[in-house]
Amino acid sequence: MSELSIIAHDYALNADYARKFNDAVLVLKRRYLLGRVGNGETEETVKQSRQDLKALLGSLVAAIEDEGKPWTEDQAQVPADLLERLRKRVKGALEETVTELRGVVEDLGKDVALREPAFKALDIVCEAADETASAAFRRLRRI
Amino acid sequence: MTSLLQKLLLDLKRRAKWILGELAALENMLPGDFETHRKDAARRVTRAATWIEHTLHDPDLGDPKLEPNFFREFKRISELIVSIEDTSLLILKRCSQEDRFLTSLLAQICREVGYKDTPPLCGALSFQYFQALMETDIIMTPQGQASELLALPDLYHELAHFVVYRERPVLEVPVLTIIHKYFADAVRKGHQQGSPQSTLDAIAKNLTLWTSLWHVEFACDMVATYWCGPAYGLANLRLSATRGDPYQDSGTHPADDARRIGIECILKLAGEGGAAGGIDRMWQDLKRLSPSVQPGGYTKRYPAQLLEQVAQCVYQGCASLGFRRFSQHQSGSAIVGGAVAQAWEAFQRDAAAFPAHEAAVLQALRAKIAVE
Repeated sequence: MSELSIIAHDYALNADYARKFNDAVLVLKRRYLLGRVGNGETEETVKQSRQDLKALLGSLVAAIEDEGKPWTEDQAQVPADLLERLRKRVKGALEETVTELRGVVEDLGKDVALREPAFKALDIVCEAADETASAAFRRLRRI
Repeated sequence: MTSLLQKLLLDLKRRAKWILGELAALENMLPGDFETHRKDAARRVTRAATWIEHTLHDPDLGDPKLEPNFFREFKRISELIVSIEDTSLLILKRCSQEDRFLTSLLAQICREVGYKDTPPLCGALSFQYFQALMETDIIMTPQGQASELLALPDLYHELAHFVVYRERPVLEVPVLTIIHKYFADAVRKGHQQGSPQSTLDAIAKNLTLWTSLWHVEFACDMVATYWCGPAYGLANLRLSATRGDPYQDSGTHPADDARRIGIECILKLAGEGGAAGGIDRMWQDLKRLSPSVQPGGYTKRYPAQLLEQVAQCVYQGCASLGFRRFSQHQSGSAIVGGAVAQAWEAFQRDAAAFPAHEAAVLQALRAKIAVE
């Protein structure tokens, strides 16, 4: 009813997406950039993180490419704030970023190792998602 | 050398430990619903503290490739700890008579409407009307809420926020799909008819407003109406009367007048066309008292057809989730729902005599709903 309820909704949605995305990227970075699993993680954790990231990223790519295409329920999984922030963040490089991210989705599906450029693109999403979650939290707490 | 992130984690660990100590000190001192919430909050803070400890021992914590990701995880955990301190701990430590009554009342509402999760904790501590705080499972109400009935339907709206968020695939996502389709069709028609760019820009702006946050408010109104019936529409009118221009909207909230249409759509779907008409007549009276002018482009911003489609979707979603519609409550079992409906009937019948009715009903409610 008050503004805070709707901001709380927005925060919960953005924080959940940011956390899940970042968690998966962290596991995969350790596996593919440092070449190991560790601190309680296993190859099964890596496999699960690949699946989680594929779902999250696939929805994101579909949502960001939506112009002129019919909207699907899959796209609605992505917070609108994140899409807006991501578009602003990459500005002129949107097409290249989307192409890179689409490639990552394909690689995640093919079970191939992710490389440095893939993580650069993934980090852009991690940062944008983190910024939207933090901004919603600040609005929620009036800080 | 200890890195900045390690220092921040150590600081967060200290804060988590303090909250756990405060929560532990309340053990065996709280009534049932509060104790359930205390245990859940302690479980979440313990999990956060475990993550902090685990991360502090992670050999890759200082690796430049991973450190920003660890920092982002730290932020989410920090937000959780701040939220629990600011809300859960605040209400648990206070646990006033009003908080206990409202929490019991809300738990009863949850039983009546078929809400399946643990009922949120309720605290009469808000400085901004009603607030649903999803991350800590709390609803804040105005301070006087334990002593009044007419605004009680708003508690249903706050509860709906939890449902719309948690049942996203059943409620929010299909609603978003409908909204996107509606405005995509409007753009296509605009192109076909050679509409000016300003018209297409206005459609794009309306789409953003609807899909950013408005759809959530509309959906919560509709779920609350499904549960609470005409009383929700009447409470909405009462609230709107205190807020001025019914056509004014903001980035977070659609216009009150548009929300009325959404509420009436649900009432009509529930076979309460008569009640919807009655509320509509009261709205016309309100508009007569406060003659605001409908701004240009208003009907395109709030298309009746779109509101009807959204209402249909929410109505079906509520039914598929097994929620009980206000008219499905078995006679006598809807203690709160019945009291709210009767309160509004009594108020409309004789507003001057209403305070006596309200006091008697609240007393009976306190007796019926065991407040420990």
